[in-house]
Amino acid sequence: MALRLHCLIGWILVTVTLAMVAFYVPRYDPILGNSYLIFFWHFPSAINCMNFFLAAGVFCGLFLFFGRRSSMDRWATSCVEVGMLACTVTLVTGGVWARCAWGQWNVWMFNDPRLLSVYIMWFTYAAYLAFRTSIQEPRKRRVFSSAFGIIAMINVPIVYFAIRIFGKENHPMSLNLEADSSLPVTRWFGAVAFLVLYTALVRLRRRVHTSREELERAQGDFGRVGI
Amino acid sequence: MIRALLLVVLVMFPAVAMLGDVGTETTETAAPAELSSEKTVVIDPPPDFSTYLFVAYGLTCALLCVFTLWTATQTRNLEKSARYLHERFDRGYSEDRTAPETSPQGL
Repeated sequence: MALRLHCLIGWILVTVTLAMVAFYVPRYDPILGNSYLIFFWHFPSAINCMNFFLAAGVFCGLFLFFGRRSSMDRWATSCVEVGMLACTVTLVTGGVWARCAWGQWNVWMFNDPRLLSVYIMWFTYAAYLAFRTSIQEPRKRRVFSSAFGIIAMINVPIVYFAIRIFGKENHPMSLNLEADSSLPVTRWFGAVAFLVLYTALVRLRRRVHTSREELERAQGDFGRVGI
Repeated sequence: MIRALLLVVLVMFPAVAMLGDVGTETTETAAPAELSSEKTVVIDPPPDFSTYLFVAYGLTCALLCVFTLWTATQTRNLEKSARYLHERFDRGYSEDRTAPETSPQGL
């Protein structure tokens, strides 16, 4: 699919999700009031950030153990970048929701295993990106960052099962949205919409990395010839 | 730029529509202790968090929009630079091949 069309479809689906939140689902929850509506953007970003970090780990593995093709490394980096974006959206929306529900922007330090593990995941992948830019030699950069990507992936299942592993605090393992049929529909429609948009962004980021490598190669040619 | 602005407005519209629907004015919130306890606490009238909703949705929209535009601009600039360098390289290479052994200045 053409990249521009893919991006456009992603944005349209996200806009439809917003419209569903605005006009389709019930306006108020008996306990949380209308703050529960944040869930319809919090959940899709959270689930997709974990998907993209897992995908990044798989691409890192494919790069390291199957032929060391640079395109796998580009996919991995693009997945991490978009996963970071999704994780940031999750933290922003989660913080605002926490302010509404618990009265504090974030209740996290050792208080809530899910929030703490998400913060650790965010910092781990921020370190991955910083680590990548710190190595100049392309071959070394690919190998070391792929190894880093595989190690970082270990935290993703920990984030998902944090509540079950470390016990429940404020953050629930899952929300029961069976009260109204519009709730699960909007939730999963949102997840698919964000998946489409984030996939388009991954493709766009991959194009950036391809162009950058091409530019570096062209600059290298210039240097070799001495123009 | 106008297209980008149109996109932002289109995305922000439902969030603005949501902000407009202010049902009941109350600042009452459910405390964490109440939420974590087993009994269900029903607050009547339900609390209203339209401003927070607008902030959450608006920030997310802005973040996604900025990321998309930034990546698209970066792609275009990088592709342009790479194309320019390739063209310059090809031109220089073909000029080198067609040029005589000595330069016009005889150096």
